[in-house]
Amino acid sequence: MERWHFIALVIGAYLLVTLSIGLAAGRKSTKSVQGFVAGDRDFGLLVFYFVTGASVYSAFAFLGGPGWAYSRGAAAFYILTYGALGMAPWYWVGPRVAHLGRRFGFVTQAQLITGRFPSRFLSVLIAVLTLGAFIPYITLQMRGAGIVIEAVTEGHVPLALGAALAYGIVIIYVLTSGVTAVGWTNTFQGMFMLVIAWTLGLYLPFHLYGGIGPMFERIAAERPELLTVPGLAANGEAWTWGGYTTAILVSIIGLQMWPHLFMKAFTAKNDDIIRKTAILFPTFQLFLVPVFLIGFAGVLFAEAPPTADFILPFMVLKTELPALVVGLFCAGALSASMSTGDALLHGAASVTVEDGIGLFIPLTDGQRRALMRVLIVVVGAVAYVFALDDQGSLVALLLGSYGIICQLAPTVLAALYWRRATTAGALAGLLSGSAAAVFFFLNGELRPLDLHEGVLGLLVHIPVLIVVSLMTRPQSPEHISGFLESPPVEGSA
Amino acid sequence: MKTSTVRRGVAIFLVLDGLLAMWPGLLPFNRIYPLIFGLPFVMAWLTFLMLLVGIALFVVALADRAAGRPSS
Repeated sequence: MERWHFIALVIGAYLLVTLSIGLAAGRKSTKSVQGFVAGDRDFGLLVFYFVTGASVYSAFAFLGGPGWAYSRGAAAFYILTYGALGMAPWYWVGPRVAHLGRRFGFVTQAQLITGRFPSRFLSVLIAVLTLGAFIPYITLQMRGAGIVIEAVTEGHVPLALGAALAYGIVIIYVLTSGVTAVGWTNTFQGMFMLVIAWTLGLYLPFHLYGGIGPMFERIAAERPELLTVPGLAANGEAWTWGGYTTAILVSIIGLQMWPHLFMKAFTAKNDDIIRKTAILFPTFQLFLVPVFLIGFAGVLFAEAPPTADFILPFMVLKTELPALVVGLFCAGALSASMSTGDALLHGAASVTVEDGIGLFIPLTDGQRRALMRVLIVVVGAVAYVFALDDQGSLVALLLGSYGIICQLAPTVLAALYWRRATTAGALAGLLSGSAAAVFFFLNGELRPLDLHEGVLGLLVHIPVLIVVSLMTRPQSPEHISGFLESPPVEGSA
Repeated sequence: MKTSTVRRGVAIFLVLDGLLAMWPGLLPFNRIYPLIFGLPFVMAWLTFLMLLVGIALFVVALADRAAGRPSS
C-alpha cells in the first residue's frame, strides 16, 4: 500500500464518522421550520460551545492563521484580540435575542430586526447582504477542503473531487437533519480541530528548533520585524497601526453580526447556555496560539510554499511526519472547513426563504422546509462552480464583506435598546453605512489613516441612524415595549 | 456588591482590555523579550488579555447568581 493510500483511508474514515454523526443527529428534531432552522431551541452547553467555536473558526483560521503568522508575523495577533472581545457583549445581547425569539417565534436575524422595524425592503436587503457575503465565504471553505485533500494525497485526489466529496457529505447531513446536524457534527469537528492544532503546534517547534523559546530566539535574530505588532502588510512592507487597530474594531463589532452565528442564539435551550459560552469562548480561542506557532515554525524553513496559505500542508508534508499524522492533520483542516461551511450553507438557505422568498409567496411550513433543502443544494452548487476557479479576488471579497456585515450592528442594537429608533432611521443608516463601506472598499487609497472601510461605514451609519430617527415619528409605545423589556427571570431553565 | 456595580465595572474593564490590545495602549507591551513560556512578550500579553475577558465575564455571572438574577 502506498503512503497516500493510507492517508486517503484516514480521511475517508473521518468523513464517514462525520456523516454518521450528522445523520444520527436529526432523528429527534421535529419536521418543522423551527426544528430545521432553530433545532427546536434545544441545544445544550456542550453543543452550543462547539457550534460557536467551530463556526467562528473556519478553514480561514486553520489554514489562513498559520499563513498570516508565516508571511505577516505579528499582524496575525489581531485575531487573538477580536474573538473574545467580540463574543463578550453576547453575554448580554444573546439572551435578549433568544428571549425575543421565543416570544415572537423569530428564527433569523432579519426577522428580529424587522419585528422592531417593519419593512419588507429591509428584510430583503438583509437577505441579499447575507447571500452576498456567504457565497464567497462558502467558496473559500470548499477550496480549502479541496486544496488540503489534493496536497496530502500527492495530487491523486484533485481539488475538484476532494471538494465535491467533503461538501457532498456536508449537504447530505444538512439536508437530512438541518441545524441539529450542524450542531452535533460541529461538536465532533470542533474537538478534532482543537486536538490537531495543539498537537501540531507544539510538535513542529520542538521537532524543528528544539522548543518554542529557541524557535522565537532564532526568528528574533533573523526576522525581528515579524515579532512585534503591527507586523507586515500583505505586500511584505510594514503594516500600519491604523490598519491593525481598525481591523480589530471591525471584527469585534462584526463577529456576532454574521447571520449564521447570530441565528444560533435561537437554538440555545436556555439563556444560561449563551452566557456560559461567552465566558468559555476564550478557552476555545486559545487554539490560535498553536496555530500561530505552526506558521512561525515555517518562517526559517529553507523552502517556501507556493502561497502563504499553503504553509501548513506544505510543512506537514516536508517534515516527514508519519502517514497517520498527515491524515489526521488533513482531517483537522477538513473539520475547520466543513464545520463553518455547513453553518453557512444552512444559514444562506434559511435566510433566503424566511427573509426573502417567504415574504412574497405564501408558503406552508412544509413548503418552506422543502424550499430550504432545494436552496442548500443550489447554493452549494454555485459555490462549487466558483471554487473550481482559482480567484484570489474571493479572499478580498470576504474581507470586504466584513465591512458590510458590521453595519448590521447599529441596526440590531437600536432594535434592542433604543426606544426612539424608527424604521426610516434604521433603513437610512444601513443603506448609507453599507454604501460608504463599499465605496471605501473599492477606493482603498481614499481611506484616511488606513482605517478599515467598515469603521468608515459606521462613522456614516450611526449619525444617519440617529438623525433620521429623531426627524421621523416615534414608534408607538405598545409596539416598542415588547422589544425593550428585559427578559423575565427564567423559572424553567 | 450590587449586580449593577459589578456589571458596570466589568464593562469598563472590557473596554480597557481592548484598549490595551490596540494602539496606543499596546505600545508599552509591544516587545519581543522577555520571552514568556517561550512566546514573544507581546504575543503572551495578548493571549493573557484574551483569557482575562473570560474571567471578567465569569465574575459577572457570579454576581448575577449571587443576586438570584437570570442565571439558573
